[in-house]
Amino acid sequence: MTLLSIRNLSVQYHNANESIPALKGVGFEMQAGEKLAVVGESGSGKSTLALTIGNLLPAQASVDGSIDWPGLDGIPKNGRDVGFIFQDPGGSLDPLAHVGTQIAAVAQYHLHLTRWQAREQAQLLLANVGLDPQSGFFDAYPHQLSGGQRQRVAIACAIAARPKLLIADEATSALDTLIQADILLLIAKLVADTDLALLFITHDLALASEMGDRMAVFQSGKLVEIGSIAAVVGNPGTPYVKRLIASHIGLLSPPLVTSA
Amino acid sequence: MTGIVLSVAGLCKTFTRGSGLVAAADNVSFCVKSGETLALCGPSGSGKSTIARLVMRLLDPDSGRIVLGGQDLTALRGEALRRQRSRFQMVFQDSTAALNPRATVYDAVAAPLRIHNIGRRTDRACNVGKLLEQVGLSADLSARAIHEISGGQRQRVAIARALASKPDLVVLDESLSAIDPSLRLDVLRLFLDLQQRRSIAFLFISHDVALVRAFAHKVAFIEHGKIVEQGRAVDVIDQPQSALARAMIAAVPRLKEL
Repeated sequence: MTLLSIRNLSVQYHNANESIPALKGVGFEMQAGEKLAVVGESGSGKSTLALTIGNLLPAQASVDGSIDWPGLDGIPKNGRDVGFIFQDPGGSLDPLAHVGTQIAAVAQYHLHLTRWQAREQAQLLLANVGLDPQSGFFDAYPHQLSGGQRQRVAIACAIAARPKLLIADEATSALDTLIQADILLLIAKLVADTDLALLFITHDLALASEMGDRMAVFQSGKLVEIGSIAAVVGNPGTPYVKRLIASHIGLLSPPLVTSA
Repeated sequence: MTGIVLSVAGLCKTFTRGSGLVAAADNVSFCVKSGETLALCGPSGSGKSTIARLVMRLLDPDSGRIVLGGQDLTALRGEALRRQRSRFQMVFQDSTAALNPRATVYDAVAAPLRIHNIGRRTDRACNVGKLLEQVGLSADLSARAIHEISGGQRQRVAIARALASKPDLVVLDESLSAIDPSLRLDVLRLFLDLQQRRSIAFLFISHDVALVRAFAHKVAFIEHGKIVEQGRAVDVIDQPQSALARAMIAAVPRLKEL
């Protein structure tokens, strides 16, 4: 079933004397429960895509084209239908509220629960993201948690209302590789357990190939390639994607130095 | 043959956190030869950046010795230390934060020449131009403001600035993390080319094991301020012995072709 259908989407940012195009004629579809990895370098438009889907663009932006949600009845509501995880979890959490209360607030508002039910739901969610509520995480403030723990709380908030689509925009870029691996495992598990679709935005080609069923590559606001991981990585059709793959440095890449 | 540029012995540094003490460097010893790259690899909070800052003498160690080309840096203070600073330079992760945004490219690269009194003042514009060309930038960029150039160009300016005083040692603190993947290989090749031509020793701070394997001659894995494993980068990473190195290698994303 098609969850999301984007056609001929263009976005421009305007300032005092010029218009800067951020997306140019982008079109693709996402199925319910699908994992789509979006890869792009800085300025490719990948974050603009996330903001446009979530209707979170600043007022100075203009949008052409259409985003339809055949998988939903009506227009989506952020928090309820679409959940977000951003790079900086500290920026998405209220520094003055207990993290358990913040998760409960999402569940209470969108799922129409009582305060008490929402509290119980939040404790379940904390356990689901690997933060044992028995260990005092419910009443912790964001500053008392590590970066990885804060990102887990942000994930719990994002999935609290059981959305249809989870958008992760560079969600692990600020974390070191060890913690990144834990968070990726958590996201993969949450997506596998439910019919939650995932839009995973990253600049890291290898990460995209691990997280997606399909991969979409963006360059300077254009969607240059989209297809299964095997097709895009194994048989890239554009010089840009070929160059990205050739410049990837992995554990099997030949060393650039020879040591005595 | 190649001599030892940097030798660090028994380096210790503790910070207080709340009521407790955290060891950011715990009896750390290593050496780097000229023309060689040593990578310090560890998770966040392992102390790798603290060790970089100790080597740069931006922090004072509690104990231990840092010897650069036969000179004990730990014994130096004030003007005597400042005079030595031309010999060891650093390139930071975020070149936007490291450079004055209101300065021009010329100002940024000429500053170390002025501070360390290198070359004649009348030759300065010419020397800045040469440095920019060495890092693959056009000398015409000199007049542009730091905030007007792209991130990749800015990191190259930071590299040109670090090289201006012809240092023996350059500390690279996550200097490639903020660079787009398609440009990263170019910047890596630039570092290697400069290293070969000028026999610079690099101390490369990174948590990217794949990058370390490609770029560094030697690696030291660090956890809680202690070196838990060190050796030739390819050997250690292809056959890790410590739990930390194994975990960090397992966590590297693999490019999949199903």
